[in-house]
Amino acid sequence: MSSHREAPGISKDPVADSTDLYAFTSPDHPNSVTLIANYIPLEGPDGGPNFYNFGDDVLYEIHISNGGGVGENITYQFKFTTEYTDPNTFLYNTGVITSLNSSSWNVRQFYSVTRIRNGHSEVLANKLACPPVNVGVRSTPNYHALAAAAVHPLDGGWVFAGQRREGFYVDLGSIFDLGVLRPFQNDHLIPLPAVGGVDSSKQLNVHTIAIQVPKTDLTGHGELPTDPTSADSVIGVYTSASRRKSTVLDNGGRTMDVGPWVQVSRLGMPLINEVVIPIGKKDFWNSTDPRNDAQFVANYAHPELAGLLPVLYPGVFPNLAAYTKERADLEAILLTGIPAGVVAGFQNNTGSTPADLLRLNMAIPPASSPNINGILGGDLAGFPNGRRVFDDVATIEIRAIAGVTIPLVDPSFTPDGAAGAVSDFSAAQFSSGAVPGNSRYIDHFPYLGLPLNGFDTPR
Amino acid sequence: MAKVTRRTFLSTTVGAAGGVAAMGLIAGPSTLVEAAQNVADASDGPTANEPMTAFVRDAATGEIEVMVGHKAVVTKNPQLIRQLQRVTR
Repeated sequence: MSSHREAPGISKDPVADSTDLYAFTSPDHPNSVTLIANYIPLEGPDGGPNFYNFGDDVLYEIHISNGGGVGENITYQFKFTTEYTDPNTFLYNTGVITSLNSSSWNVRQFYSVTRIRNGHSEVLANKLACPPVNVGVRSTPNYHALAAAAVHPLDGGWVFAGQRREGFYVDLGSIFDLGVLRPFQNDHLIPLPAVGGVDSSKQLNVHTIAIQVPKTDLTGHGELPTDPTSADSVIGVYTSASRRKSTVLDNGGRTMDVGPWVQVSRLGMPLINEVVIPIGKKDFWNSTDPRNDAQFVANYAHPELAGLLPVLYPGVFPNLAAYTKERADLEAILLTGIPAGVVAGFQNNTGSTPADLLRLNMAIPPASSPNINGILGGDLAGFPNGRRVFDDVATIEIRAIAGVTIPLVDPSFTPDGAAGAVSDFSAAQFSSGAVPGNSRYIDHFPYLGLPLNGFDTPR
Repeated sequence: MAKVTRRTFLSTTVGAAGGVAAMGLIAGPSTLVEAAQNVADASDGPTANEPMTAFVRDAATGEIEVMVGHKAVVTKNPQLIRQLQRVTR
């Protein structure tokens, strides 16, 4: 998955496991940017009686660099607290939850939002209510209203933290079974008849931290970005989760956390720690600052997956197999941003310092007819210009690694025919709308659809 | 949990649906984890009752990392390490 259970350490700590990061110009409020950081991977909607919650002992952050650089200029911090209405019941709720004040809702979470801008810390909000999880048709029959009540105004924008439907779609079971893409598995080293992909996350939820921020709050000088060629129009974003350095599991089930925050998870571009960083470095990568990513450049320059594709699909990727140069295309797209002059009318470059950041050129307006393949599909408002909730980042990155983006920096290279076609889902699945499917997204903040309820899911 | 009957359950539910549930019913911080976090957030400096942990990072060099509140301080104290080692024999 994008970054779900992607490293040995964080796979054992779901509440601190960043799964996806999104950054895009809000289509219905184009003078604002929406930032979404998702946590808790593979979240089953029926996961009671202790349904999923954010970690009270985790510091969640969204970091933003502006001015076309990689320095950390703005950080939003989110801290959660859990309260029990009645600690003497085992139930999440003792009746119908009809509002965020329902006395029958037993396990509540609240959170604070702090903004650190150029070293100055300001608490923007305290004790904002999360919605309950979507328990089921009896407990949360009007879930839409509960979720809507948990969207709070925040300093000229909006904030939401709570359960939503998983927006990332991928055929997880096939990709990690020796790199199989089911629609093309007839060409695999161990062949089977080609079939459509399986949407592994279709019946899953996630926990979302979303903020919608005026663009003027994100630029270095408070200006509204209108010039796509300007460095001031570009921001770089990553999310992180941190735990206190020392945890003592004391007698009586008590836990004591002491010491400074230590980063245990981070995420900028999708799938980097998943498939670019080798397993022996994944936990270390999660602990490091993206501004120190020069130490990982070799993994981008010669990605393991690019070497595997010609082996797993014999005869399908001969041009990729013969390409021995460093992958300057991937280094630009994934580590520094695309410089001006490579894609007409576009750049999201943040200088020469390699850093895993999700880069958004805020001067590019939202697309009237978005293409889920983003810039590869001719849509400059989509990935890797930031990332929208519906962008097909798995297909885009597989095709990029397969060589379709090499000509951007090396015109002498001709991509293999399959490089522009491979995907974990078939064209028919996309054209029919089966993938990513209905109700997965909504057209307004926080853009990810309502979470699936535990009574009806899975089915 | 208070005694539940079908009648009280339904009346609670109907009351909540009518919007009369009171936030006053919600208890204050009810987990020890939360309480500890609140204490830690209240001050950067150590207090007399604040938990403190010490991690002997390298017994050979006497390096100890002491953590209190949100701080971590590295110090060298081979004598303290020897004392701790004696205690744990």
